[in-house]
Amino acid sequence: MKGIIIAAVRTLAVVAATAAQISATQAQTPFRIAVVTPLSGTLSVINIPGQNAAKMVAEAINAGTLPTPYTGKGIGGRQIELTFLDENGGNARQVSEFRALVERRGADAVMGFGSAATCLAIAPVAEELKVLTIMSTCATPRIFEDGKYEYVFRTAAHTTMDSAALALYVKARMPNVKTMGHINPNFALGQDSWRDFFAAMKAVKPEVQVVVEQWPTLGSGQYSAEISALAGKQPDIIHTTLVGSDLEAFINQMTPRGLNRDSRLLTPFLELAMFRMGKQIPDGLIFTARGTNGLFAPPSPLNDWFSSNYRERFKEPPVFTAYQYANALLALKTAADRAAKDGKTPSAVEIAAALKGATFETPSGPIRMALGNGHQAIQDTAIGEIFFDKTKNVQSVRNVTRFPAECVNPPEGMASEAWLKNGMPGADCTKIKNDE
Amino acid sequence: MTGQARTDMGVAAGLVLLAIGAYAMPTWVLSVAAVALAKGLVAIGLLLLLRAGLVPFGHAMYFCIGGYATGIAAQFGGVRDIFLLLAIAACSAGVIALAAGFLLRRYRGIFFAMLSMALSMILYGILLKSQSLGSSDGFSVPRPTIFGLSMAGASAVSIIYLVIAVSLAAVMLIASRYLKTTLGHIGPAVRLNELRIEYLGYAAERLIHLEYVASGLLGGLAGGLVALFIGQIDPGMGFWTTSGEFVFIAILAGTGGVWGAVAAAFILEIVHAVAFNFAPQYWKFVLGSTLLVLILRFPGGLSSIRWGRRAGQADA
Amino acid sequence: MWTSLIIVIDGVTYGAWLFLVALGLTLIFGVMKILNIAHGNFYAAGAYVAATAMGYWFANHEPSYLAFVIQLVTAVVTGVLLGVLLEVTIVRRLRGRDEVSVALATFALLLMMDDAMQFIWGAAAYPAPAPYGLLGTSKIAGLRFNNYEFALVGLAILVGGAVCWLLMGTRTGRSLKALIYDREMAAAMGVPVDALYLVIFTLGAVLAALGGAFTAPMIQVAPGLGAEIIVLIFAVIVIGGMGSILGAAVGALLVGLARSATIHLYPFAEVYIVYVVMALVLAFRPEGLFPPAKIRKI
Repeated sequence: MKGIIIAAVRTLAVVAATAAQISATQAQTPFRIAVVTPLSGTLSVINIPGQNAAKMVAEAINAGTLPTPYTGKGIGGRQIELTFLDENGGNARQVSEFRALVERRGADAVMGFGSAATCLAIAPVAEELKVLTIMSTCATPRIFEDGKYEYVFRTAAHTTMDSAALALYVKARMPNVKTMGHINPNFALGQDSWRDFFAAMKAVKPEVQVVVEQWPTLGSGQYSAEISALAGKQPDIIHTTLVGSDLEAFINQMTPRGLNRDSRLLTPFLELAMFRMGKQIPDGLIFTARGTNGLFAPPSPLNDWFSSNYRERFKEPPVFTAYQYANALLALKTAADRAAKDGKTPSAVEIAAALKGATFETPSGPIRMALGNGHQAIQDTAIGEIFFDKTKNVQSVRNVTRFPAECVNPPEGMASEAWLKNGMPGADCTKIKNDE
Repeated sequence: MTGQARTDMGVAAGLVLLAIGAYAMPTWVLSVAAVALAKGLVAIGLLLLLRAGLVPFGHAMYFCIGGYATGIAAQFGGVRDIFLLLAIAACSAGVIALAAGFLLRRYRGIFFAMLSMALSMILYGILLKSQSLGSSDGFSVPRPTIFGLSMAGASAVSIIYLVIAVSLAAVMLIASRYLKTTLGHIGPAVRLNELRIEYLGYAAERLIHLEYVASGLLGGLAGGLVALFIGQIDPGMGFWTTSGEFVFIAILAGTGGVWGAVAAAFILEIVHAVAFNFAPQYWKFVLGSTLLVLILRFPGGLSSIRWGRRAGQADA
Repeated sequence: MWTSLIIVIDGVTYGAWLFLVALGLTLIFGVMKILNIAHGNFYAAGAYVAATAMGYWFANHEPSYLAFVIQLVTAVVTGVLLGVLLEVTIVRRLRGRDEVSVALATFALLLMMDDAMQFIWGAAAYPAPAPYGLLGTSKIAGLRFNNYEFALVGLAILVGGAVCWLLMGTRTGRSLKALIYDREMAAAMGVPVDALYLVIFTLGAVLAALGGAFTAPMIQVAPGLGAEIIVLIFAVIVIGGMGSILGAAVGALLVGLARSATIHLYPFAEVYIVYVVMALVLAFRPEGLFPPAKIRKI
C-alpha cells in the first residue's frame, strides 16, 4: 500500500518538474493575464459578458486600436495573453489553483472574480505570492476595509454605492413612500445589500417602515409563497437583489400576479436580465448598472467604440460586468504604460505603484482608485426606470438620476457600514443631476 | 503483530516521504496534497462507521464545525497557537458529535445517512444567516503560531502541511491499532447482524456512538487544519456536496484499512486538480466519468460494504 | 384568518410541484433500491428540452394550448431516451451491487450530466413563458394567484393516481410487487426482471422530465436547476418513507405547508425549515411516515 503513496508523490514531483520547465522558458513572452471567472454554474451567466469584453478589449490593446486616450500596442510594450480559469469548486480548490496559476503558469497578473467569497479567500494569497491581482466584479466592501494589500486592487466600486444611490433616488423621486419590504437572496451579497439599503433609507428617509422581509434560498426558483407574502402587505417599495435566473424567475412569477402594480420594485441587478427578457419585463422597475455603465454610460469616444463593437460582435448590448472586466484591463494598461516610461518591462511592484491612487479613463467615465489606500475604486453611478421603447423596439431607461462618486461612496478611511449608519457624513451630493 | 509492525513502518516511511515533499514540491502541489491529506483524515473517521454499515451523509458538518471553531478562536478569541487551535477544533466537533450521537445511533441505513445530512444542512442554514460570521463569504483565519513562533508566506504553507502530515500519520497509527482490537472487530459484525451482536452481550448502539464521536473528532481536526492552511472558511465547508465527496472517498477506499482512505483522498484530489486544469469548463464531467469508471471497473475496492441490503436476501 | 388560507394555497401548490418530481425518485427506489442522485438532472433535462421546443415554436406563434402538448411530448421523449440509455449502459451493470455504490455511481452521473447539459445548452438561462399566462389568474382573499400553478396541482393528482393504478390495478403492477418483495423468487416464477427494471427506471425518468417540463414556464431554465431540487426531494421521500408513493405525497404536502408557513410567519428560517421538518419527523418516526414493511433478520 505504501506504493500508492510513493506513486502519488512521484506523480506530483513529475508534474512539478514539468511546471518548473515551463516557467523557466518564459522570458520575454507576452503579458500573461489569468482571468479567474465562473465558467460553469449559476454565476457564469452573469460573468459571460465580462469574459467577452475581456477578450475584445485585450485584442484591441494588442492591435493598438483603442480610441484615445489609449495609445500604443500592448500593455507596457508586451502583448496580452489571456487564459480563463473556472472560479468554482470552493475556496480550498481556488487557493490551490491560484498558487498553481502563479507558480506554474507564471501569470503576470490575475483578474476577474465573480464571487465575494473567492475574492476574500484569494486576496491574502495574492499578497503572499506578490502577484498583481485586479478584482473586477466581486462586490463586497470587506476586502479593503478588513485588510491592507499592496498587490490587490479592485477597479469597480463596491456594493455600498448601489444602496446609497437607491435610497437617495427614492428620497428624490418618491416623496410619498411610507412602507417598504424586501426579498433578498439568503447569502452575503443579499444580506449586505439589504443591510446597506436599510441603513441608507434610515439616514435619508427615517419615517419609512419595513413591513415585510423575505429571505429565499439562493437558486430556489419558486417564489409563489414569497410573492403572496409580499403582496399581502402591499409595501410602497420592494427592494430585491435577486440576480440572474433567480431574478428572471421572480419577474416571471410576480408579473401576472400584479405585484409590480401595487408596489414599486427596486431591482439593482435588473440590467443583467433586461435585454434577455425583453418585453417580459414590466415597465417601471427601478435599476442601476452598478456605476455609469451600459445605458447609463456618459457619451465618449471610448464608450462609443466599446459599446458599438461589443454589440456588433456579441449581438447584445454590453451590461455592467462587460464594463467591469474591460475597465480592469484598461486600469492595467494605464498603470503598466505609466510604469514602463523608460522603455523597460515594468515589474509587478512598479505596476502596482502606478495603479495605486490612479485615475483612468474607461467607457463608463473616469474611475478613481480613491479608497483602501488607493486600491479600491470609486465611480459615478446612476439610477433609472426601465421601459420598453416601442418606437425603437428596445429596452430603454427613463427618469434617470446621476450621482457623483463622492456622493454615494464613503470617504477614505471610513467603513461603509459605519458611514451609512451615521447618515453618510462627508457625502458631497451637490452635483446630483436628473436627466431629461 | 508483524502486520502491525509493517503498518507502522509504512506510516513512518510515508511520513518521511511527505516531509521531503514539503521541501521538494512547489506550494501549489503542497496545497493539493495538504487538502488531500486532510480529507484522508475525514475518510479514516468515516471508515469506522462504514465498517458498521453506516454511511454518514453529513460529515461535512464536523469538518465545518472544526473550521469555524478554529476561525472563531483565532479571529475573535485571539488564540494563535496551532496545537491549541486544533484541539479546540477537534473538541468542539467531538462535543457536537457526542450530542448528535444520542439521536443518530438509533438509525441505520439510508435514514442514518439522511438524518445526518439534515443536521448538517441545518448548520449550513444557520451559518448562512450569521452575518457577523460573514454569511456565505465566511471570514479569514489568521496564520497561527507554532511553539510560540509566528509564520508567514511559503514557510507557513510547508509548516502547516507538515502538521497535517504528522496528524494523519498519528491517526493512522492509532486507527490501525484500534481496528485490531475486539471492539474494532465488532463494527463489521454489527453490519452483518446487529441482533446477534446484542445477543452476544455487546451494546451495538454504544459502539456506534463511540465510533461516531471519534469520526466527528477527526472531521473537526481536518476542518481546523484546512481552515489554517487555506486561511479562509465559509459555509460551503458544510454543504451536502462536501459530505458527498467525503463519502465518495471513503467508499472508493473500501473498508479494508487506513491506507485505502489516504490513497482514495489523493486520487480524488489529483483527478480534481488535473481535470480543473485541462478542462476548466468541463472538469465535473472528467471527475464524474473517472469516478463512474472506478465504480464500474473496480467493485473490489467498493464491495466490502453492503449497507442496507434488502431484507429477504440470503444472509451469510 | 386569510393568512392561513393563503398559507394553505401556497403550501399545496409548492407541495404538488415537489410531489411531481419526487414521485419518480421514490418509485425507482421502491422497486430497484436505487437512490438516484441524478434524478434532479432528469428533471433539468425535461425543463431544458421543453423550454427549447417551446422557444422554437412560440418565437413565431402566439401562446396557445399547444404549449401543454409540447410540454407533455417533450417530457415523455426526454424521459424515455434518458431512462433507456442510462439503464442499459450503466444502471444495469450495477445490479447486485450495494446501495451506496449505486448511489455514488448516480452521483458521478450527476456531475457528468451537469456538464453535458451545459455543453448542449450553454450557461445562459432559457425562458419558456408561453403557457404560464394562458390560464389567467384568480383572486382569492384579496390576492391574485396564477391559475397555472393550480393546474399543476391537478396534474400532480392525475399523475399520482395513474402511477397508483399502474401498481395496484394491473398485471404489471402485481409482477412489480413480487419483484419488490423477492427478486430471485420473482425471476424464478417467470417475472421478466430486466424488462420490468427498464420500464420502472424509464418511468421514473419520464416523471422527472414531466416535472421539469411543466416547471420550465415558471422559472428560467439555467444550470444548477437539478442540484437545487435534488436535496429537497430527498427530504420529501425520506419524510414520507423511502419507496412509498403515499409517503411521497404526504411528505411533499408537509414540506410545502411548512415552507409556506415559514415564509408567511417567520421568513428568516426559510433556508433550513425543510431540514428541520425532516429531522423532526425522523426523530419520532425513524423510518419516515410510511415505511415499507420489511422482514426482521435474526
